[in-house]
Amino acid sequence: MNKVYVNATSIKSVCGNTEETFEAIFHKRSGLAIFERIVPNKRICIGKIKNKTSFDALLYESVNEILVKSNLRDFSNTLLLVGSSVGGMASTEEALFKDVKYENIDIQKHPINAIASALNQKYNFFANRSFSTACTSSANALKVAKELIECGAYKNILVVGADEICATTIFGFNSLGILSDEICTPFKHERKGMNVAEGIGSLLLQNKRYPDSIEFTGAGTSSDAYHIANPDPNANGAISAITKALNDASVNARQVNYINAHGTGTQANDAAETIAIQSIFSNETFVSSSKPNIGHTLGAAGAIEAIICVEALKRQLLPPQINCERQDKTFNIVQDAASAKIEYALSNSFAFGGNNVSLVFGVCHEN
Amino acid sequence: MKINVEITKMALVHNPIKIENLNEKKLVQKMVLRRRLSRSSKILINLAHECEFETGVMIYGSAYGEITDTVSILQAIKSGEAVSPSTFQNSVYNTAASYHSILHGNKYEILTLSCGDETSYNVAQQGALALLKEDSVFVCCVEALNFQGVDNFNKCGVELEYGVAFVLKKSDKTATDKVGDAIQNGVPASLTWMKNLYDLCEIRKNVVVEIEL
Repeated sequence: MNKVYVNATSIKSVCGNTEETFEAIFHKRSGLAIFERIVPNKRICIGKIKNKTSFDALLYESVNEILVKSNLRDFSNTLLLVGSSVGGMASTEEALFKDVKYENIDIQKHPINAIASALNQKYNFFANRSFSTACTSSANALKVAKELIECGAYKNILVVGADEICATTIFGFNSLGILSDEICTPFKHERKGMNVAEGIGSLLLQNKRYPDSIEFTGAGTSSDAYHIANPDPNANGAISAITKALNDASVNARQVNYINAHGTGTQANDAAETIAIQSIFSNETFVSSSKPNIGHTLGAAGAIEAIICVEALKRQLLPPQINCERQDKTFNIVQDAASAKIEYALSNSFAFGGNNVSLVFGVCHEN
Repeated sequence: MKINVEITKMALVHNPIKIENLNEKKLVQKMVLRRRLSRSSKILINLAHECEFETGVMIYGSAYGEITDTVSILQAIKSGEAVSPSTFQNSVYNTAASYHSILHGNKYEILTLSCGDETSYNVAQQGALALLKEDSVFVCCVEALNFQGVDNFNKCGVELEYGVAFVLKKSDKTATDKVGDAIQNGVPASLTWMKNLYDLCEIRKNVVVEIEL
């Protein structure tokens, strides 16, 4: 079975490009902002990328960055896997809200695969597939990429997680009463909810190892089979996904030094994830959520937060969490960026429908 | 890398407007759950029942997902009305597969793909990949397109409700059959490959096809 390596990464987030996003995360800065006029009579805190010409332009920038950082001349031998929860919804909304005429909607730009189509047109990938499992979309794409490289079906796979903010997600999460009016406070008693945001995370996975490679060692998935939107309060699904990921990576819980939590800041998610983490890991494992920095990027979250784990492993630096000063005394939340020996890092993603994905990344050893 | 796959069960339902009897009262006896089901969910649950599938790995595909709920949300936002929470919860692409998992307590891996016209072939590819670790896998594609305004887009007379499903099993036999690429009238393009596979299985017994991962 082939090993799988993360050899190039790129982020576009409310905090900026890849380096700017890492700077924001390690220095506890947030790119989220308060908007007074999007939802009538309500203040919301969300993440809109400033000064973007178009979301497609950001996608191209992200993929270009991968090409520059990689050993590839082009993507003709690379499989593209995209994870997104809303695809081209923003394009549909723009056309529909302008004049309420359906005929002005470009139906090719609406679905999930609109992102893959735009990228494929520009870069001519070997083939492409798109996954949509709400907030685990790109985490699932990563798991599939890992399996395809392990079995020898592909040598190069680019995984892109991308979601553009749109009225559907803002008003939709508002209807559930879980949009916060301030920067979210995952795992805190006084939590007020989540911050929906847009973002892009791209990872080049390959079967070859290079000096700065990080190994993608484990992936696990499960279904809650409990509720269409709420997680199983006993966290059985989350526990199952984490356990499968650890088994796939052939590591035990004590070997995982850092967890990038799903950590949305909603009562239901935080409660279930707390149970899952506490039931598997000791208080020696550090935990943080990056959502107070970059918001909940929905289908892109799995890819972006996987990249944060990869960067933590490269820097041997624990990513801290904003707004964690008075957290539940449940587990070891990273207060400030701190050097640490990080052998393995785990990223959690949970979604509507009770879809759970956990991913494990590790530093490369000699053999 | 290629995997030879045999089809052990299959099912097909379709209607130009609305499939009449999806048997949901019998299949989903809890009214509170039944009332929440989207059309795609009812179609998937029916197909899964026909394939005698309850628990195991499921690969689901749909090019347009829960577009009826999406349109409802857009209309509510445009007209300044409140978005229904249950409509929003039902609007994600993995809704149908998730309701099936809730109905049967299926805690296995469930994956949802949405790949435009290639959806059903990509779902089969993903099913073949799953067969490297599983004995069998349920693959299913559904389009439920009967939403307000569909006439603006449906110029080719595609049937508005369509679903096809298979239980796949890894085969050691030589692949003797090829799935055609004929475009069929009324079949959503996203489901064409699976409909062609279904037709092949109607003509021949013990079909074994080769699927490239």
